[in-house]
Amino acid sequence: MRAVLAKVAADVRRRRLQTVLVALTTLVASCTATTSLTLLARTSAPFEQVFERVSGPHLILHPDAARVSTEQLRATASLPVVVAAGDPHRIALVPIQVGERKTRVELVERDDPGGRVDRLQLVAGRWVQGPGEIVVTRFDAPEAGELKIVVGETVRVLSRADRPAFRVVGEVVDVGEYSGDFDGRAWIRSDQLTGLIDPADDALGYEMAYRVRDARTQDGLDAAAAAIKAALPPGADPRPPTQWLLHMQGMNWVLTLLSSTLLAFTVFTLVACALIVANTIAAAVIASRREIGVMKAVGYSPGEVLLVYVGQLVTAALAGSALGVLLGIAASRPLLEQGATAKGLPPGDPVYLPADLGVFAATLAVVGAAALIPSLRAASTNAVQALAVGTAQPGGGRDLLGRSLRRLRLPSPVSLGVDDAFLRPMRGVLTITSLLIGVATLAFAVGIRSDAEGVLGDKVLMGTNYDLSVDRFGAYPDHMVMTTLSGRPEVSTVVAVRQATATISGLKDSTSVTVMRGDASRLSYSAYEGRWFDAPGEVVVRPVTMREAHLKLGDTFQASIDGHPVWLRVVGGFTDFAVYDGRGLVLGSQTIGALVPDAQPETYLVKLRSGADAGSVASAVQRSAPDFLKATAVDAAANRAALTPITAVLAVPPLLLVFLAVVSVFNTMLLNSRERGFDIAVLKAVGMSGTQVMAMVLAPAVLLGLIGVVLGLPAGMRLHDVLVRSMIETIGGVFDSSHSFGPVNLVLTTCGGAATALLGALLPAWWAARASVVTVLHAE
Amino acid sequence: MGNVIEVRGVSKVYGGAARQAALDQVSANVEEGEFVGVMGPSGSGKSTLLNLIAGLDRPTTGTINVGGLELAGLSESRLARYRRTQLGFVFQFFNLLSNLRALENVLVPAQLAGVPRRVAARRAHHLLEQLGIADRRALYPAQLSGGERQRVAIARALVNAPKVLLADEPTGALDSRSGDQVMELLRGLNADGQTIVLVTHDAKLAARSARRVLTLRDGRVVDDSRLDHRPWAAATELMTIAGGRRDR
Repeated sequence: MRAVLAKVAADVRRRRLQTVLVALTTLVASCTATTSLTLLARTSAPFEQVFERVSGPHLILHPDAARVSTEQLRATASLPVVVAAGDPHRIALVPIQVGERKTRVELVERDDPGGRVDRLQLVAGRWVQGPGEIVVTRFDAPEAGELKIVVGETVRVLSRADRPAFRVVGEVVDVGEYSGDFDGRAWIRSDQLTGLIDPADDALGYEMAYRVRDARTQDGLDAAAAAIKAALPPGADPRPPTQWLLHMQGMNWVLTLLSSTLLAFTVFTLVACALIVANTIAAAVIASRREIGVMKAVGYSPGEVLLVYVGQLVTAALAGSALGVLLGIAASRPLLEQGATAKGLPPGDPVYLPADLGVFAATLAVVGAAALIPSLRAASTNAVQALAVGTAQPGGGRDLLGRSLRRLRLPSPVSLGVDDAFLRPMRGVLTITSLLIGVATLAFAVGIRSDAEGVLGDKVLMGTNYDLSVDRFGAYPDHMVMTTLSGRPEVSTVVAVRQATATISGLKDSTSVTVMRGDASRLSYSAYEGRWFDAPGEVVVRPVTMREAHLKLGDTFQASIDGHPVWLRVVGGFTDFAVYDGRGLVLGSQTIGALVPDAQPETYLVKLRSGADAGSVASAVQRSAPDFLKATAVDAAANRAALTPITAVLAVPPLLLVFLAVVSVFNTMLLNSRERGFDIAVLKAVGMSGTQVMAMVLAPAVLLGLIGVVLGLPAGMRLHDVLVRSMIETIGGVFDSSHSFGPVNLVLTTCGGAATALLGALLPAWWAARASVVTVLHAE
Repeated sequence: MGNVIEVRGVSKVYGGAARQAALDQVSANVEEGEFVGVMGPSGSGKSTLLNLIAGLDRPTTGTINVGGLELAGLSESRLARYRRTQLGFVFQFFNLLSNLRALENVLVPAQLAGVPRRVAARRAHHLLEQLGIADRRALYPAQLSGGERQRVAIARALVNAPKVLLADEPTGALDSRSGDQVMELLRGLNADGQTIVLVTHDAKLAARSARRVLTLRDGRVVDDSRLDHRPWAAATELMTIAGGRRDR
């Protein structure tokens, strides 16, 4: 064994470039894999740990308090699908104000923070002990911003004209809270809620938390929810239940979006690593055939020869993988911190030993496996033949290609060099595969960039199609808001928005309805298919609702909006980032205005005239009724910044894979030019100039690059289509790939592929051009 | 006739710390149309001199002028152009490109020099016919005998009608019959006016072909003799010269 180790050590020292290439390749692969796996594992782990500690609810149902009794709800705890259930708590969605800040919270009557399910963790202060006290969700997420509420502050409930005050006595970490409709939960003692709500605007309901038997799958959760709802009076709970899986996705939606892509890139990187390693070791075996003969002649067994060659690469891979894992951990830290949805949860620890050790072991295994076949070839080499023949001669496979290419009458250095692309056919194939992966991911990155630019340029998707949003609280009447807004000379258009709920035949849960009053088309709202509504009874539908309700353009269906039956006709499909589940209807107030004449909008989307300052208008509107209005200027930069981590994370792996493609071409061209060193010297001796030598070495690289582009570009476009479509559909969006690959992008990707190959071949070509003829010929 | 090659005070030193002079103040001329043999034992500097004349290497000191070109002042690309237009090089081990057929090997220097395709092909065909291997033009080097490979190499060296043909041990890898045929070819070319510089360590070979022999030893020219045209007399003379120097 000492002889093997000594030979491995000597070869690692002697083949420095090979060692560096393998180390660099494994470094990139293990860094990418570590980052991906750490992000995937660590973003869900902290939530799950806290969730289990507090016996977090798998399902929360919100039945209507008018249609179900607490006894009926308690009886559901004994259903077979239920493992444990909490007590029913009365809830209502109410607007609140703390100082100048206003928001909506789900106000819950609860006397005890403990219990079998959904135990609330006090992190500051104490639990409510009497009337006039309130406990709030801890708002310490960066995005909480101005909403942060702390112990000692006074909360005023705006749903009543006298705005009753509550003193904040405690803060809790709340793992059960999640909804797009409100900013958090707050708790008060029992028997206070009825007096706080406005029956016209706010509905009183129950909150009932469950832990169920099959909570790991969406189907299991859906089945449990259906079983519980079936045990309640019909129509008692039309709202969709809060499900913990969706909750977790909501907390990590960016990383949910990225998970499949990151995993795909991890696999690609390991494959690219394997290709480069296989190429390198195959070349080493070819180049040292005579040496293998000598090794066998002096007594190395076939197994020891195999160990020598595998050992060289594994030694290099050990260093590369270890450093790559460390770099991966370092790269994960800022991404985890950025992705952490605080809400009481710390960012995940970037050191995740199972992933780190797994990546380290997997990278070594990939290198070992890739090195195995060429090393077996070395082990099985006949010693006598190896000593007699020396370097293995390339096969004759390139003759046909060479003849074909020479017929093209290319310049002589090009025609002499171009058939070297397949000097060793397997080497050429491995290099093309690396280039294919590189070009495919480059195409993917270019496509993603176009998509991101498309999203950034889409004002509706980015929520920048208006300049100002105004929220109305409490009893402040709609006409007063409109008077205030229409009195401002800067205001161009106002679209008033009210949220309602609808039940649709065929859908087991109710869905949200956005009711718009005003000319929405002036705020650039448009349909991705069909057209925007412009007449009573017309509706545009979000994609998931369209699919689940089996609707299509032109269909007419009956829905019940806030309890009022209405016939609707689908005139368009609509998507935006306002919801993450792709569900809902959008229609005009003319459709249901007559049915619900007292309903008033909650939010006003305001478009200002050109040149108006949104900030000063927002301040002026806010000052007009500081207790009842919350006016916010749209921050386009913040909205754009929300997409930055996605595009950044998606841009890095393709760049690393392109880098690996460059390394692969470099490796192949270096090996080719070394094997053809003598021929190159002869050509120089008969008059080939340095420039012509460079052209000769670069020609096969360009050919490989072009083949890589021809194969990789469609593969990348398909990859982009599949992954981006699945990512967008995860959050209920609609993916339109028609603008992802314009002619400019196709040309850019083609040039990028060719440039990748050229870049990889440049250094070997330069070295070949500078090699001394005399030294090479003398060495032979 | 004028000198086609002028070597003036050329030295070539290799190595770093252990510096060793492969050539030491060598001066020699070759006239147009001459057949000059360069003789000497292994390590005497024969091949180094040939490489310097070919512009494959640069002298440490001294100058070399070939056909009016001062090689010292030429850039690498000008040297490449010089090699492809002014020189033909025949190697001991043929050095044909294994992936090209015989005809394609011959065409390479012409293509590099930008000779029009038809002109180059006509020249190559003519040379292969002249050298008696026209019927082998479609074969790869591996399919040719040693003698045939060297004829292809000679055709390649001549395709651009060089001023000087340099031959480095051209029969060293051939059996005696093939070697004789190759030397007969070279003599014929010389008879037609081709200037030839032949490096060899074989005194008989030099005597049979060359009209003048430079003898090198330890990097210096120890003899420059014009030989009797009768081969055996010349060989005896050469061996006497070599033996005399050795005894010294």
